[in-house]
Amino acid sequence: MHVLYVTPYVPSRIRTRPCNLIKALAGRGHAITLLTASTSAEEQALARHLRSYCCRVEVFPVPKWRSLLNCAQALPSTEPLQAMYCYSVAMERRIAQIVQQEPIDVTHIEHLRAARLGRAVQRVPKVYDSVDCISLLFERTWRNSARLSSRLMAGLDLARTRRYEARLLGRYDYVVITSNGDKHALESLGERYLPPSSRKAPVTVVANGVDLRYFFPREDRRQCDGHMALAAQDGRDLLVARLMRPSSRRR
Amino acid sequence: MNRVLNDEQLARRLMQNGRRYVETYHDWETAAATLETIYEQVVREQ
Repeated sequence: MHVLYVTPYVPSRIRTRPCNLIKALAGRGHAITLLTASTSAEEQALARHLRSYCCRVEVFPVPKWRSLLNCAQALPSTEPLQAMYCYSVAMERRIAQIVQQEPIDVTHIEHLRAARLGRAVQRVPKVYDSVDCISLLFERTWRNSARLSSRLMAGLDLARTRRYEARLLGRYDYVVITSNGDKHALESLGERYLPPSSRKAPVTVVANGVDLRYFFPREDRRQCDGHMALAAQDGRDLLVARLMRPSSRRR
Repeated sequence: MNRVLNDEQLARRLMQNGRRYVETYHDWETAAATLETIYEQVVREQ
């Protein structure tokens, strides 16, 4: 199959979901055309390694000032700020052009930040990879975040994100998400905000994986080079740092 | 954390069970296979 894969950030070891799914899909014989937004030159450079897995990679820079302008324009509208953050007119036009001119079998659009671009796709099946239910994420941030600025941002965007995520269930053919909790939260938004008779895309859990060639047991580490051992060590340090954080904050 | 760091057998058991769990439920190949089935379904229904 020829898949048009659209992401609001460059897939990388940090953006592990699209990175590993693209690699695995390419390994299964699918042709991937990747269109991705990028917020910095460093991120743009990360796209290079993807060229060996994709038949084409096109990067659309969305600098910080553009994101802030997008968000300012979204403020008086019903669009969530998140949905506008990485929006690029050039990227939307390019998606429409590719879908019209090339034999794309399916489009895969990842995350709320790219969801708006789905409107450029006509007559080709659209899969929306929600990753998380962002409304659920905002609800948790609103209730639990220690940072006042994060709580205010989540509170500002929560109501419109709920309605927007519900509408996406009607605009896409299929939705995938990373966990059962997020699936149930997204489905309840559809029940709450969409008319009972309206068509709602099925939602299926596609859990995140672990790159088992990168993360491996300690005893196997000797068989690999120093770089890999260092990476595993970094991961363990990160875990310890996270466990330490609450007590250091109390101090 | 201290218990795991000081008990090599416990650490090994946790490591093996953790790896087995990840291989069963969190393998990218499995995720891609599920996605592939979904792609086939939406293409068929188009």
